[in-house]
Amino acid sequence: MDKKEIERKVREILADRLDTTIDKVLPSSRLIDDLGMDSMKAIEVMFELKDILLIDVADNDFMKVKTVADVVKLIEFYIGEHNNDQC
Amino acid sequence: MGVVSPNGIGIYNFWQANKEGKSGIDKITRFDASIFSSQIAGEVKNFNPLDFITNDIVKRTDRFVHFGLVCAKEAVLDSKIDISKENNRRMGVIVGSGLGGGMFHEEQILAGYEKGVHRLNPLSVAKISPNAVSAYIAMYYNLQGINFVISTACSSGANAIGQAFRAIQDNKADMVIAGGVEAPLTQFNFGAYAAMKVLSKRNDTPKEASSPFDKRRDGFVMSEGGAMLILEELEHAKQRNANIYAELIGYACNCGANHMVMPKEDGSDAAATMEETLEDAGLKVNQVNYINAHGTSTLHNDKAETLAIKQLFGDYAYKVPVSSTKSMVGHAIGAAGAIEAVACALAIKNSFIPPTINYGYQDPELDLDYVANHGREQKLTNVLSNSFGFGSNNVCLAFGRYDG
Repeated sequence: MDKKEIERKVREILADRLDTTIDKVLPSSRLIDDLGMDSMKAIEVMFELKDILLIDVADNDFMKVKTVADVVKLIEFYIGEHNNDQC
Repeated sequence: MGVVSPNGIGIYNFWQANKEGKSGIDKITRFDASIFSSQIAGEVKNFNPLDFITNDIVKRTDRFVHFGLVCAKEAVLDSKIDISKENNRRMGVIVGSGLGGGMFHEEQILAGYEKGVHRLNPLSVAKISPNAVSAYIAMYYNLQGINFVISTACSSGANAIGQAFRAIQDNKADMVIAGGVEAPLTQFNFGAYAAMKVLSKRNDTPKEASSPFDKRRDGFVMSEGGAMLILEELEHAKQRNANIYAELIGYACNCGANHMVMPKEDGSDAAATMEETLEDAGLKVNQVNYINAHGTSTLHNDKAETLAIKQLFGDYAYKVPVSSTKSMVGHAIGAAGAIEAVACALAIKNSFIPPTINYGYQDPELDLDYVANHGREQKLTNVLSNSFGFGSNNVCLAFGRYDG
């Protein structure tokens, strides 16, 4: 999965779980202030990432992200790790 | 009032169907029922929750909550109450549900086995919990008063209405959204009832399968749906010029302490429930002019209920019309009592007794006036509604005509 695909998928998941449309989920959007993320919704997003992208994001890592771009970077990192594991 | 029933969504459609004797029973389409001996049910068709509630709520809730919210919305709209002008701490929600979010529960158990329990949906608890329905209705309208869900199987909806009645009588609330909901048509739930051999097997003639009090009855037909009523303190309702369908005047609940799934054969416990309800309402037996029966279409219930009516009403039992709207709706478990409460209120308001359809052959022991096949125009002043649940839980509600 390339960077563009990851970004699209992350934006889709965030839009669905944060009850908004994908055009409002921009890389610069802040999860809490702009998109209304709360702790329960964060758990939902993590579940969807796990279910759809088959990666297991650690709670501590996810708690550090502030923007959509941060989430994409984090997912890229995890997918990279996953691919390395397979090598 | 608001209702979602297999034979009509919305009070207008529901009442038209009841007046015309229209059945909502058909072959099951929701899942593959071919492995079961019973393959028929009362599915609510053409129901899209997104027509009534937003996607963010729909995706986080089970079908039973969808029914509850849609019914509550219709009831609030119908009552014309302006909640923003009310004291929301004195407005509550009490709902009956026998099974809660069974549909999602089933999906998650399967997912847990297939993918591993570490992959369970984090919303599982919130979606499955029976009180999700009372919570979502409260959140939707910001109602901060009394709030709970009652689970007494097939009498849940009637108990919810009875407890709301008591909360208002005890001055704990000015208004309560009360009713019942159930979405039991899943393969597991249906299979569990089928295994108990309590469901009708008349698969070739689904619309005729629910035949309460008829000699051919062979079990109940499971259905789904819900109903909500706005119960309001009388003076409060009068002050805002509310359209009052009927007055709730009596309620009783007891337990036969007899058997988990069988009614007491002689009907003595059900007779006691009706008697206590009449006492609560201050009525004599000959002041009742219609009984909406529990009338499930099972061999045992219909016989025990008939005996109970005879025991309490004596000779007058043969003069009081008794009908079962389950002949048209099927048995919606925890929603049944609430759907039937709506039918009773509409019967009083419209001076019309809904029929027991599919009545063709008299059982010699069941010889009351069951309002066979055709409804009847009749002015109604006092009406009883019976609901009997597994665990010998018996409930009776009394409604009176309100002429202002």
